[in-house]
Amino acid sequence: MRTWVKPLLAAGVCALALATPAFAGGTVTVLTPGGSVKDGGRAALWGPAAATLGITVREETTDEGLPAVRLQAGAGRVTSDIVFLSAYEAELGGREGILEPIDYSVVDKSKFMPGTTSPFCVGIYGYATVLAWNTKTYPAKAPAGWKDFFDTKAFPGKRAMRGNAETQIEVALLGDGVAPADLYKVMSTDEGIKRALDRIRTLKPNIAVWWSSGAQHAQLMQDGEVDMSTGWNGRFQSAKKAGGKTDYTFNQGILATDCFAVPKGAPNKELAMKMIGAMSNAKSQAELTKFITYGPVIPEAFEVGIIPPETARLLPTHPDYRDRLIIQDIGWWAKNNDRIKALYEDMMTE
Amino acid sequence: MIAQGSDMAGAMTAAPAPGGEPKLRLRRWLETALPVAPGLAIVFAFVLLPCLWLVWLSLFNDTGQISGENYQRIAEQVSYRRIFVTTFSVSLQTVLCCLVLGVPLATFIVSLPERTRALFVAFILFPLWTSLLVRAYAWLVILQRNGLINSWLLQAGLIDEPLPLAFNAFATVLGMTHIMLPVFLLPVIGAMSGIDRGLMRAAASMGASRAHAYRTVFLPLALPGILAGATLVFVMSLGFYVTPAILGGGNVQVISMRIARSLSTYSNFGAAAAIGVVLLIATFAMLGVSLTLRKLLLRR
Amino acid sequence: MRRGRLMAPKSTGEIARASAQAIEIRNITKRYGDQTALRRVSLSVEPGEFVAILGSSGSGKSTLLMALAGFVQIDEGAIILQGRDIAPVPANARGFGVVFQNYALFPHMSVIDNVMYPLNLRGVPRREARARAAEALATVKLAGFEDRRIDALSGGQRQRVALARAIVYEPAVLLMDEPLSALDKSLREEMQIEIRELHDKLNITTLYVTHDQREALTMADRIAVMSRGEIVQVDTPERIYREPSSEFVARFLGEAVLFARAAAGRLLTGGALAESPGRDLVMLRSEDLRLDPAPGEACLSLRARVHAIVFQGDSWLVQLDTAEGERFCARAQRASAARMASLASGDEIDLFVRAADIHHVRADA
Repeated sequence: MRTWVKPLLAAGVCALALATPAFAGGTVTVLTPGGSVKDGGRAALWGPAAATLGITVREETTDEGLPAVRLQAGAGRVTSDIVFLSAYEAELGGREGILEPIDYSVVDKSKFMPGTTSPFCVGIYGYATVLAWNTKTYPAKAPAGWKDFFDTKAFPGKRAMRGNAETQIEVALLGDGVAPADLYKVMSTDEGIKRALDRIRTLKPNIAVWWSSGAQHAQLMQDGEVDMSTGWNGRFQSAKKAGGKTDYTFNQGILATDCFAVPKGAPNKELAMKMIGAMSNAKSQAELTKFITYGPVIPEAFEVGIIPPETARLLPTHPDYRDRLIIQDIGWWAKNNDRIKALYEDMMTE
Repeated sequence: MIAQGSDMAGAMTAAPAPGGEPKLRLRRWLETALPVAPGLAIVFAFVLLPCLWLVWLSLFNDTGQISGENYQRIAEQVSYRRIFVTTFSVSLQTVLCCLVLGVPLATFIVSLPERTRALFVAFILFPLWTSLLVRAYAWLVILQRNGLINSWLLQAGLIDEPLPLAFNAFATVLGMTHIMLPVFLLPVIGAMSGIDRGLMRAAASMGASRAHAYRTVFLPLALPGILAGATLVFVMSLGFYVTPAILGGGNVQVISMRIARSLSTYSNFGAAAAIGVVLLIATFAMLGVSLTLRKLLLRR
Repeated sequence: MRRGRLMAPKSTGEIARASAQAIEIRNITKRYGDQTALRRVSLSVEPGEFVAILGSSGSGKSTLLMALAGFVQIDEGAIILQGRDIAPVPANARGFGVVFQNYALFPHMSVIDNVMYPLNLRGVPRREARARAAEALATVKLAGFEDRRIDALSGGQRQRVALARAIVYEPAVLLMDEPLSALDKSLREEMQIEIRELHDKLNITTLYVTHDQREALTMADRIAVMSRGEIVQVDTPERIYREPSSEFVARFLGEAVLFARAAAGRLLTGGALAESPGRDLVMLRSEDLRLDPAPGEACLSLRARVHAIVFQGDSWLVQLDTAEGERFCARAQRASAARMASLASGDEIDLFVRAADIHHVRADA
């Protein structure tokens, strides 16, 4: 492995020790991006879990989860026991062999929505790539799904798509009439990828912007810079609240999750697994929505009376939307990303 | 060794012993080398070493094996070629805009009296202290679909549909020109203020019109500064990130954006380093072209 | 100078005796804010005449020349050339030749390109332009320097290129602004003669600004002395030296011994001073004071006490005090070395001056 990155370790990982009441049961170090994830996590997830297990939690923060795990693994000195990753990052990390397989004997998989746990990580919440539109541009009839996104006759106007293939291939094929059940089957063929890219190509004259961040696509909608955009539900909700002319639908939304993983060689691996098991309950995930408006991936969370109904309706995993969502096949992306990314960039720069 | 005439005595006393001379030479060498040593060390540590490190990094693929994969990808993937073309084209357009706007502006500024000139130069430098990000967003406010220009034009009834002013090469070049103009102006103003005003008078005394004297005397003398400014703008433009990212709206893909994505989204240091190496080589090639051009233009 | 070159056939575009133009400056005034740089300056220059404008720095001489060249806009007055007032004509349409103090050669052009510049402007075909430029360079003794770079030339050579460039298009009037001030003394003296010879050959009406009285005396047909924005006297070199009209001119050129009219009446003995109303100073040149009376000529004598004797190479300078305590200088030629040796500080001696060498000048205000 790359041993020359060793000196970067100190700079790459910003370690932050937090004093929690000491218990006899040991210490687990959690690495998170900080911010609301850390605050919510402490209050809803590892705080109660640590209390239950009688252990201490040390918190570390980093901007880049997977690179930090890579650095720790590369340096041969793993300090984190539990890391916060996107499901996609966890999939890559698993493939690279820098994550421990989750011990599902201590984590109850059955509580989770299908597709929100994987061999290397356990879902915390889900967020969806959804369709948003300008209510002033389309006052009469709102677009109902990705087909309408690509229908510039019925819905003329400017579009924004992501400058990155991930989720956009799904969007294109759903827009081209592929059934959700067949989605990843079609994507696994060269014809399917060509079909997706061609679908986007026909829309290109209408694509004003290729967005690169959540802040950007929310702003584009709020400013009326584009009339329809793909993007993340939480961001569009903010735009809807702020601008008053943005709306979005969970129809055919593509759900991805963030999750907990355990780095290979974690100093307190057993305890980490126990910890994840303890955090994986409906109440904890429901409490977390007070800090982050993302959807619990344990369906029971909606039934424990913690999430108010009006908040529940903003979450992509709400029972009403669950059947309309497509759960992203992270494994497919981990396998195909490099190839698809190149093809997508070729298409973008044509 | 034969010392000449009366110098002999001095020469003999200055060289105390045989073998004293190499010592003297060493001392001379040290006297020259020591003052430049810190500078050289900094260049080595912060310029040369990182470059070599970059080349070294670029030779590894994302699983840590030595391979030419990163370069092969650049050679084979069409989008890389397009991104290089876009980067060079946007930079060149920025240079052209700087030339068209900057040369007359610099001429005007050097024609001002000393104190007013200093004021103008301060005005030019002022934007250098404002954030790139702020300026890019400011342009967005002006250029976007519901921005100032489109709103005015629509209200005035001059257009029916908003003009596509933002999120394209036009907006990118505009934003970059805004940022690079001061960089261009400084060497040009420097060169122009060094030109003897008497030469323009001399040309006029021989019958040259203002325009003719400007073309045949002033511009050729300002040429080294103009070339320096253009080269500086071009090379700096090749590395632009924030402005094309914001004002290009993904429709203007430049090299730095690709490097950033390789690093932040894919953590692929090798791929990013390889792009960096290719850009470095291309930049040196451009500098070579510029130097050759300079030689050709300034000969005569 | 190779005169033969100048007689080359017309077809090669030789530099011929141009039809020299008279130029008349009438009452021109130039102000900068509340400063008056030129005050009602008038000067008539004959065709082919060489007039030196002499003055110290700040006297307005360069302003006058730049006004003629068209680089300084005058506030009042007229500049008449061929019966026409050219004051409103822009510099580039006046057609004068101008030689600048710092030469103003184009550093990015070779010598020949510099000299060809005005010809190219006039649409002279390239081959002819080159031939004429080469000819002009030969005229200023720079044949063979055609392809040199300007920065490879010495000061004197640059001066010659500037001259060649100013005459190559046969201007009717040549304006020169202290062209030799940057050269060392011996080169300057050599160039003075050369420029004068060139002027005679080309017959160009020439106005030549200088602060160097010897240069003006050497070169000019007439000298216009300027002070504080005004021309105080215009005359031939000899008359301006011998018979200055004012105290200023007397002091500015050469060494003058000046006494008030009344004092002179008491000090100068052996003859009566002529009457000269309005001119209340008596002036004589220090080299006109002699130790012996001039035989056969009316001389006046002046008693003075020797203060100091200084050997200055070509002459002796003797500082003396009059009986009334006024210090003045006398200059003795080297030939009188023996007499000088016999003098000592404190000696009382009689000096003599020819009556014809005594002049009356106006005292400065």
